[in-house]
Amino acid sequence: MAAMVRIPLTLFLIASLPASALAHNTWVGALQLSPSQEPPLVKLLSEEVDYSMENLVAEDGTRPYFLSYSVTDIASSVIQAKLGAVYGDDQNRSRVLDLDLRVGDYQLDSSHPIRGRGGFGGRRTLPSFLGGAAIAIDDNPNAVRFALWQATGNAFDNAIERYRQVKANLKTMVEEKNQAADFSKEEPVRWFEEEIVVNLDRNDWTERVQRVSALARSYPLVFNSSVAVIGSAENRYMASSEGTRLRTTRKLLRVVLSAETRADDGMDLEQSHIFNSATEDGLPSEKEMTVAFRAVLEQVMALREAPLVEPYTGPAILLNRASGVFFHEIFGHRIEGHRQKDVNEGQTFTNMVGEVILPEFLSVVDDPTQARFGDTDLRGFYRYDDEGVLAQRVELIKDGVLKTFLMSRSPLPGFDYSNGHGRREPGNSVVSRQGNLMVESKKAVPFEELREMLVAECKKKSKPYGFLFEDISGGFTMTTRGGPQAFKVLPIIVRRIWADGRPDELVRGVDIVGTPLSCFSKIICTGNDPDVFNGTCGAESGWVPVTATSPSILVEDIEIEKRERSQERLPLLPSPIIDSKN
Amino acid sequence: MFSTLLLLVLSLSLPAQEKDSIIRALADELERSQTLTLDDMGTPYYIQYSVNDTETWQAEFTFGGLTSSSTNHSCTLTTDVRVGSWNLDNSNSSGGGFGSWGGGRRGGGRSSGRPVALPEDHDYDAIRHAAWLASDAAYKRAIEDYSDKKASLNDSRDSNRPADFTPSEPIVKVLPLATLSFTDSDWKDSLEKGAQLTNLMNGYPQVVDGGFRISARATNHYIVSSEGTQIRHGNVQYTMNLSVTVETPEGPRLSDSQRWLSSSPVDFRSPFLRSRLVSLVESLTKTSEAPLLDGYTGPVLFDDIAAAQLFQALLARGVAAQPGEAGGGRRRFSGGENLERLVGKRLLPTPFSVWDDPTQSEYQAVKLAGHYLFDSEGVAPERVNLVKEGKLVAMLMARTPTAKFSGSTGHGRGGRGGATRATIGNLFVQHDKGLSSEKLTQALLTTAEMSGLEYGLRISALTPGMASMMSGGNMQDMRNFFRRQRGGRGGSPSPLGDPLYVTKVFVADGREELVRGLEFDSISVSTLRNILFAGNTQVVWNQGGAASSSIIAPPVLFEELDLYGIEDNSGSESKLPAPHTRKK
Repeated sequence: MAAMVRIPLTLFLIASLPASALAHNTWVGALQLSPSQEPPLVKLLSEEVDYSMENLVAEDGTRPYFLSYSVTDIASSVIQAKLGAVYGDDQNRSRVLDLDLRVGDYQLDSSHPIRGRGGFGGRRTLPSFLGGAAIAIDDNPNAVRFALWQATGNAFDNAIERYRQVKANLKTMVEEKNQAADFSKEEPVRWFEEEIVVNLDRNDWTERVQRVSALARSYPLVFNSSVAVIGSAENRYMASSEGTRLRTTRKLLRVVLSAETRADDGMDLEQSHIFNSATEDGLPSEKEMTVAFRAVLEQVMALREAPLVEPYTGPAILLNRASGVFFHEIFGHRIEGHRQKDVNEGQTFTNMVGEVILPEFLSVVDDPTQARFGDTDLRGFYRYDDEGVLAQRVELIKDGVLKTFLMSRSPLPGFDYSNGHGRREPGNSVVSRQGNLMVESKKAVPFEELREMLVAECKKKSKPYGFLFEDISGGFTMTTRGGPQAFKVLPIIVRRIWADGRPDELVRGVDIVGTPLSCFSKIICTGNDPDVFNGTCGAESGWVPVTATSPSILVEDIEIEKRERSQERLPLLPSPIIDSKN
Repeated sequence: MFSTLLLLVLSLSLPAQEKDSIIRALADELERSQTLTLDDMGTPYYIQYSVNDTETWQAEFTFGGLTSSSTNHSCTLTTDVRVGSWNLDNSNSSGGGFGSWGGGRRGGGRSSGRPVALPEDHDYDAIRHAAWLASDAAYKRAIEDYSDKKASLNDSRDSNRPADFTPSEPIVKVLPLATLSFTDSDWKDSLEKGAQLTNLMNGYPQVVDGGFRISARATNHYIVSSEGTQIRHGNVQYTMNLSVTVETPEGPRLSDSQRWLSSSPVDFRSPFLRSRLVSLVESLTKTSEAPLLDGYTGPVLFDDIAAAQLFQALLARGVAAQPGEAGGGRRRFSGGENLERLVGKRLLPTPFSVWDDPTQSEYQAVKLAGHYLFDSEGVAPERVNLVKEGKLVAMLMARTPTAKFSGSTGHGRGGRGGATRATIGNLFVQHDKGLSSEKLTQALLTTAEMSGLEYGLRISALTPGMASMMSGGNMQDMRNFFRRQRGGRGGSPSPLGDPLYVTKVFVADGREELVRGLEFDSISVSTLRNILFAGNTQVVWNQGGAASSSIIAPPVLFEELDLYGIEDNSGSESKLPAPHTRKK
């Protein structure tokens, strides 16, 4: 294994840069594409879909009613340096085959949840994990056909066995409350984008990350640091028995700057800054990287000196991108369609369509069709989801009222169709996921005004101070019935705002905790400063790129608790690097 | 300090190290780490840095297509810091509890953390920086473990415990760097040839799975220790692996694979691979068409590699010392029991001798996978006579003593998870009065006749068993193994794989007939005492994995073994014709 680059896997907030206030969302139409012919691999997949549908039959005569093949080809490239030395310079290419084979019919099929299975949390009600299969990375037809044949046979055996279990389970359990179908009927689509590749000048970038990373040499207390450029080009090929034929592409590029240290009391501290781009040209210049890395190093060192904070409940502002993460965790995960269907889920919002769940000045959409926001590329952009359904802008909350859910092809009562949010990391089963979640406000004031409101709120409540959450490393939430319906958000840059006008004070060691419904009702006002958090979200169907866009929000009451920390001492000996250059 | 002085003297005599930034950085940081001290805890009494710098190119093919191709360079540092004394130190402490899953502190005195990455460009400062933090963490963990261990020993009554570690003579040797000897265009050509080779599979409807894998790996090992050892040694290995699976008429599958080691990448493109693929397919096909045998009790001849597979399963793990488990207290699911309790006792019939000799690089012009110059504790291996006149007389040792043995034989090599434990290198089995192949077959027939049987069984290969899984099987083997386990009879798995190529040899006229569908009843190391005869020729069987090894063994004849018929219904519901069997 080559040196692993630390790629943030939970939602990661970009280190703060001056927030660019954007008055309006910028809509971007379809990118300029020259329509291309059906690629040979799509043709091969569709021929095999046809062959399998015609010839797959079990001894009792059972046949599949639906079959789709997706091949995801990912070429990735990583160049990483620490302290001026090259740590990883790897290029990889892989192809994963995912297939969806169903027996039964649209109403009741082999994917139907089986109730009463599994122990803790009762999660094992979804179809068993099949995983992706390896498939030839050249387009050799014999080898591709062979892999499809092998995977299809296995999937058919599993589907037949599971369909038997589903039918038996229905007989033995109480009547199901949820009578929605198992699979929605959707229009087949045809769309072929031009194949893409990642094009980085490896020599140039190697030297660049080396030079920038060498900055950390003059910070002897920064124990780990890294500068990396990471690029991936995904070309996805799909064909289904309904007639869908697709080749879609996605390019994701990042420059990741990170630094870690440890406070004298043993608390591990980290800072990072991530530049995102959908094009090579959109990557930062060396100068921008240097400035940002210097800021990361200074910020993490400043955190060492910051005081620890006691548990507290009181008013707080979540700065725009921090607020984006907050909405992603607390709201976004709870309006994913499949959670309304699973009896083990908390189903916070299942029966609340048409009801007010947010203050009336707030609306929330999820819009994967948007490629950019201002001049920021959005990672949650896609045209077709992983079930080959056209992505749609979905109005989830209009003026505080819940309208609908994020839907894959697994329908809910009253919601019969997908809205193009069925997503997965290759190798997983699709569930409904977020794309570009966007919070919009009708009660937006300039940030300075919002800050004054915070101070006023503190005085009203006789609190000596409130908090400003500037940067959040990620968060997590529990949505199942087995555990509490709670969330935790992990801030990394927190400032104490004193009611008496003392200067703001950087603090450390706090986590935000709470329960979703009570939290929403306490949002008083927002800034007019929407900004984008570009991240990666992990859930049942693996890691998918997403964004969350929000203005800053002022919350009447927020609860914070002390963060867990290690008790490790600082290194006993000083750093061996005595850099004469600095 | 004595060791520091020694280090200085040695470095004077070693101009070559000046050029190697890894050795230079590790030696410089080692000097500082020897001063590590916290509160009233003493400085480390032993520190070892090990670096593995590996460049790997590999590719896989199936049915004419390339399924993966990757190049990788990795450079990692493992740090062993010991506090206390040779007699009692922090190693093998139980203090780790559940938290120590990644470190594997059990077994063989591991006191180090997980490997950390070093820069690929071998930057001096960055290496020192990494070694600095790794040493600091290892030292802090060591003093914690040491306190835990002392506390737990205070209330144990075991006063005869062996020492924890043994000193070793310092070795200073910087050998030339190992590098891969092919060009980008050679590699490209190998990729084409690999695809073409597997395209042959499309010509055989009965072949339902299979593949070809090539890998070229250059590894440079570095060891720098507080005893003054400074070693750099490397090796290059080109490996080819061919596997084929065919379907039997009633559904279950049969697989076989072959592995070749080579010193040249030219073999990746060798035409001999085509004939090997064809013969692999033919052997499997013939076997798949052979009649099922539902059981057998009688003489069995382990021929060809089956004999080496037998010794691998029953002896290889057991003759390597397993500190902390001396006396054979627990038998874990580890593919072979600890044989130390049998030292001085009979293991095999009298004419047998067994020895391990990693210093030998070839046997009868076949490259031996178990050859190496230094083990991972910086000790040069020596030949160890394990079995003399049928009696077990010694064990293979790493630097951690056991109840009966102390002092390394240079067999401490990386086990799973980076833990160091004794492991075989080249294990030789020899019989003083070996018979020729004809006489051995005759002995099989005579024994069968005496038991009133019409035939005896000759087994010439086994499928990979639990023992070979535990010592680094590949993914394909794993999958096949677990697929079989599902269909098997249940119960505890035999360390031995199932017989793959089996023939009935008839007493009446010596004719041979293929059969299939058998598995062994319980076989253990004590079964070896019942060997009647052995051959006078030896077969080399090379095993890959983290610590690659070779078994060199003659065919052996057992007077009587029990075999059962396998019940396996693991067929598929789908009768979808495979692509290469469809009518065009």
